[in-house]
This record gives sequence, structure tokens and C-alpha cells, in this order.
Amino acid sequence: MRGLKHIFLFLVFVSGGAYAAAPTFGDLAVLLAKGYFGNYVRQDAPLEQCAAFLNSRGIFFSLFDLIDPDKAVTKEDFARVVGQTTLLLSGEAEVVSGRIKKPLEAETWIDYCLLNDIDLQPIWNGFVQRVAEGSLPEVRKFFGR
Amino acid sequence: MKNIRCRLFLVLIAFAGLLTLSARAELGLQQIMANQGAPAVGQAVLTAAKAVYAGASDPAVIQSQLIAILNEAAATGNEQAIRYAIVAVMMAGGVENITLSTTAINNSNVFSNYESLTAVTVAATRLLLSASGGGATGGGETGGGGGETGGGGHSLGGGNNNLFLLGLGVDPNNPFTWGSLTGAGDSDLPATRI
Repeated sequence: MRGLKHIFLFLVFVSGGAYAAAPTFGDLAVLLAKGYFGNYVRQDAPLEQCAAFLNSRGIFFSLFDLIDPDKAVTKEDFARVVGQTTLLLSGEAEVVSGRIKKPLEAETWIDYCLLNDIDLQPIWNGFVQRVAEGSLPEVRKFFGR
Repeated sequence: MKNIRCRLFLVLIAFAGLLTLSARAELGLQQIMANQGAPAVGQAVLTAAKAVYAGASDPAVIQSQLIAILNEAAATGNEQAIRYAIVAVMMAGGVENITLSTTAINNSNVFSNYESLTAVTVAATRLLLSASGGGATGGGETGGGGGETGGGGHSLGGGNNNLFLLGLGVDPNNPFTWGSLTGAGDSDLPATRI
């Protein structure tokens, strides 16, 4: 009986893992643009417009990353876009070659967020939860799904 | 006379050999894929495709060289690498050469062996390139013009009545709210014009 319970729990765990979608750069670009920059980007804007807006302001999204539906966003990528947004909105952004530069005081973007009291974890959790059941409609449309 | 003909024939053979050699890409993509993965393939193809666009002006020559690069990418047999290669070729050419890049892609083994993947990737990359105003966005380069997209150019601080922007924490629909950056209860919105 106990064995059956373990098997059941294992199956639930495995099926949960199979359905959990990895957050992609497309999802990140859409949510970021329509969230922090909701006054600038229309709520019905497609992915490419969201990415273009962010890139034009120095919050960098590589075309390679956007086009790859299997490339998952890492915590450092996430910290970078949040950090770049903070710098942009505070007027402290230093743009070098079209990208907002990481301030010298921090070694990584995660460090930058820590040093500036940005609580990354709840935002990251919210992001992961938002895309847990699959990519956003804008991303699915972008890939013709 | 016979001697001249013979020489002309040899020159012709040498020229044909040269063309064949130049049309054969030898970037070692298979090895790059095995050792460094698909993103490195993308970078290698981007560098090669940029060199093609910079080094030739004849569309036929450009196309044959791009096809050779793409065929080598197709030979890796890895869908991710192929996707990266398509993006790299289109990025290297930019919006102004999008027709030439697309024609090369459609005439390569990438299209014949991976038709649906190619169609989706080309369409998506075309959208991104057009939206960013033509500049490459990746591989060490950032986007071009990329004008204002919707909304209007008012300051971020003004007129937003979204409750989540007023500092009520993380919105389940979109975690990227000003409140999530400043912490709950902080209603100071940034007035920085971006």
C-alpha cells in the first residue's frame, strides 16, 4: 500500500514537471514591456514591438534569444533586465553600444539588485508562475502556433 | 592557336575550381556544434555571413556563398543550430537585404530538409528585424532606430491608474509593476521621461 502511494506521488511529481514550461525571453520581453512600460507600449502590442521598444531604450534582448523557444531565461538574465529597467527609470542609465551598462559597484546584475534593495525573488516567482502553463499568446502568435 | 585554346581551357578549369571552392563553406559548424553548442554556431554563421555581405556586391555570388554556409548548418542535423543559422544570415543582411537572405535560405538545404522550422523562423525573424528598424539585435550588436511603439510619449509618472502600479505588490497577471520594484506601499512613481 505504501509502495502504491509512493508510485502515485512520483507520477504526480513527474507529470507536474512535464507540464511546467520554462520561461522564455519572448515571455519576458512582453511582460516587461507591458508592465513597467505600460504607458509606452500598447497592451495589444505584439512581441516584436515589445522587444523593439526595450532594445531601443537599452534593455537588451538578443534576436538569437528571442527566436529560440527552447532557451530558458536564467536568474542573471532576469536580474539584468530588472536592473536595466531600474537604471532607466531612475535616470541613471548609462547606455554603451545601445545597452544599459551594469554599474561598476556590482559584479553581477544579481548583486546590483541586492545592493539596490530590489527584491528579485517575488518578481521572479510571479514571472515563473505567469508562464507556468505555457507561453503568452503574443509569443505563441509570434511562433505561428 | 592550339596552345592558346589549351591555356584558355586551363584558365576556365581553374576559375571553375575557384568558384566551387568559394561556394563551399568550411566553417567547421559540425565541430562547433559538438563542442560549444548551437549559440556558438549562430555566432560563427553571423561572422561568416557578415563577411559575405561585406566582401561581395553581386547578388548571385552572395547567394551562392550564403547557401553554402546554410548547407553546412543543415548538415549538423541540429534544429536549434539551424534556427540560429537562419537568424544569423538574416541579421547579417539586415532589412535592406531581407529578400536576398530569404532567397538564399529558401534555396538551401535548410529549407528543403526543415521546411516548417525554416518558415516559422524566417517569419519571426522578419518581424523582429522590421520592428527594430533594420539593425541587428544580437551577437554583439544592438538594434537600429526602433522608434516609439504605441502609447504616446508621456512621462511614466503621469496619469496611470493601474492599481498595481500604485504599489500593491506583485500583480498575478504581470509581475513587472512599479510596485514590485519599489516595494508594497510605496506610491512614488518615477517621473523620469524615457
